[in-house]
Amino acid sequence: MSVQTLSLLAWERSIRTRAQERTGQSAQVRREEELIRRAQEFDQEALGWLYQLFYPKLYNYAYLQLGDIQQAEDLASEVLLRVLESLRGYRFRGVPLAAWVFRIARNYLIDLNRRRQRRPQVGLYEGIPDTQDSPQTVAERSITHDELRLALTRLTEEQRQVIILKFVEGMDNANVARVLGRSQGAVKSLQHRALVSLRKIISSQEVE
Amino acid sequence: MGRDFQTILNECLKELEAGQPLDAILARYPEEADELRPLLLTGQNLKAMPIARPRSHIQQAGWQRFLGEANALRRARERRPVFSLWAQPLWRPLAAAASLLLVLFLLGSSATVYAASRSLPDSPLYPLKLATEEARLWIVFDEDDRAGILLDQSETRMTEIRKLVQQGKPVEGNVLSAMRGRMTRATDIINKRDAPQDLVARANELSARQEDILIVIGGNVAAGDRDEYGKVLVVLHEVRIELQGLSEPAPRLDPEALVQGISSFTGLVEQREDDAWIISGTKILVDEATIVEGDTGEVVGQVAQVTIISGPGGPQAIGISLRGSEELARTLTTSGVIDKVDGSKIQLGGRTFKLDASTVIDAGSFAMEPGVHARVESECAKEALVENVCRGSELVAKRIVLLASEGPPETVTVEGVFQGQDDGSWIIAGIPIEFAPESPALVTPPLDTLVKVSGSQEGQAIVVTTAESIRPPEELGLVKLEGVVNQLDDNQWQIGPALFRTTAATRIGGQLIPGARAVVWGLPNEDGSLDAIQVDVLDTRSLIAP
Repeated sequence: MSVQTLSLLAWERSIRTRAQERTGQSAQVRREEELIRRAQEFDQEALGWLYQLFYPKLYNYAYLQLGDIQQAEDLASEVLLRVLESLRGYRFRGVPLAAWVFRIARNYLIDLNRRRQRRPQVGLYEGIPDTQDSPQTVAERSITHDELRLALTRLTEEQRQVIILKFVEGMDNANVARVLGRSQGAVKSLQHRALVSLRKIISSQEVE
Repeated sequence: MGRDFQTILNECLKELEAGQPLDAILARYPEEADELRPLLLTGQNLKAMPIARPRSHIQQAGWQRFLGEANALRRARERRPVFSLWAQPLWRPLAAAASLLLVLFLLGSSATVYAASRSLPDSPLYPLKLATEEARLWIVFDEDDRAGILLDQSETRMTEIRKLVQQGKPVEGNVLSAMRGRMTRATDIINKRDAPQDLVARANELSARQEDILIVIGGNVAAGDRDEYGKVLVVLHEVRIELQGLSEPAPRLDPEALVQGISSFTGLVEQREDDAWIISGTKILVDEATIVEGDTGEVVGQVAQVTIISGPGGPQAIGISLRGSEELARTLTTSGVIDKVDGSKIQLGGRTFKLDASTVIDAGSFAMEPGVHARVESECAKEALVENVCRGSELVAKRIVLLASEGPPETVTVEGVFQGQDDGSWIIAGIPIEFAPESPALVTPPLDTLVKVSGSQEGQAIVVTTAESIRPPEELGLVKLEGVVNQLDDNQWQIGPALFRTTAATRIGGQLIPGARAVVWGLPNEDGSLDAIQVDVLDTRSLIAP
């Protein structure tokens, strides 16, 4: 049986950082809770906050996966309407609203992709050629938006979600896990595989 | 390497985000540095990438639509006030005085009334209990209070039914009709006026819970009272539809169809159409009488537990519960012999399970008592959950199924989602499961797989004899059926409208005979039937005709 071990130093650092962040986070959480409560009562200011906060995030999330400006705008609008319809059922229990909203967005996207009957996703390590280039050379230069979009289409759906939610939308593992309905351990594993695959794909694009 | 490297990578990414220099981070992990560097650089580049911005005029147009929808929703939720005679100040003192006289009269026979208040539906004093409850309503003048009391009384009927089932007694028509009457009157009051939201929510929650419990205890209803059973199920279902404002008036369900058999079907939602859902390859019809619960934002890709009856056009859903993977991952199923029943707690497999009002007791033909085989679906009490691991000694029983007695009495089985290890124990559904030292060495299963471990009990630990893991239903397309089994030919079986086939590879627990209630896990075929992987017979003596 292998037991997960943590580096003691890393653990101590993590505790210190968490303690420093806690004070600021709790004020932010309280503010978010209040705004959600008001949005549930259809307060226009709170609804405006919700819309302004999530529309650009959802657009970016959709554009990276659909590659089409109009479809990304449609998705952002449609998902926010669904959020509005379901908002009264949302219960604030310290879980950021973002995880809930992106879960709806992900489900919407899955449904959209099914309807469009896109070609099957590329498997975990299938179809990703190895490159002779030094991985470091490839990794050190910056990734363009188009390169990432192309590379994302070759990841599995869950790997793609982890990359976008964690590295583009800035979520932590706990919230990515909530969106995906997986454990944090599973997210960690997906994150590893996704970064390995992404690096290989971008390397191969460089060669082509 | 595996998980250790993943943890190191995760820590390094956190440190990178906190602003620490890459080389300083890598210096702490010299052995992994070569492998870490390109991954951390990729992560760093992703973070630095510019984000795509939407066009502002489109965003603005979307806001107007959003706001318009919000206003429409707000207007739809505004309800009209209703004039109430009893709410008028003049009537109140007069009515109160008359009612006080009545109470004094009733208290005159307090000893009998007290004895009746503790009676169960099989007691000769039970009609007096119902009459006393009725009298209590005469002194209540506020309509909301009256509705609340009727809901209390309906809940009391449910408690009585649970007690009858626990004692292995049949559920008779008198308690079912009393429950139906009280629930109908309560919802009539609620529907006629602008009732407080908490009252509406309570009636909705209560009717849903009662419907769930009644469906599973169908086998305990006395043979001559099955018509009343069908009627009360119809009322509870219609109440839920009305209270949730899903359809007005509520569509009529056929009590006969409910009495004929209700089964449960669990699988992955693949497609949603107006009149049907495709769930793990099976077409399930839906209509206005179908109540959908859970995260209905987007249903495709979610696991759905469907309550189905046989409709003229095929399997008809009366209820669909969308269960997120998180909820499934919290459920630990323990099977074994009940060691002790103590008030609202039972002991089984070295663990204590606490029963509450929401615990469904699916007793079949058995009484809940020591020595009876049972399967308990449970989860950790919220207050005992520390960093996703259960640190309490008691679990909350969500459902208890009393099983047909079979197998050696000391055998215990635990099933749930494997979530890692903690100090030598496996964390299954958030609950640490200890294995005795004499157990064979086990291969650690992949995270998030369903595992089933059987063995003999030794204190809180299990001496493992078998351990299996299967992929989660959402990955493999597994389907779960539950209900009364009907046999079509040697290997062809049916639960409700769903067909399944047993093969040489099917593991069958218990005696699979027509009329038995069973849980079946299987894989769907192209023709819509299932190849059964595992069949667990719950009760071979079901009273529901297959």
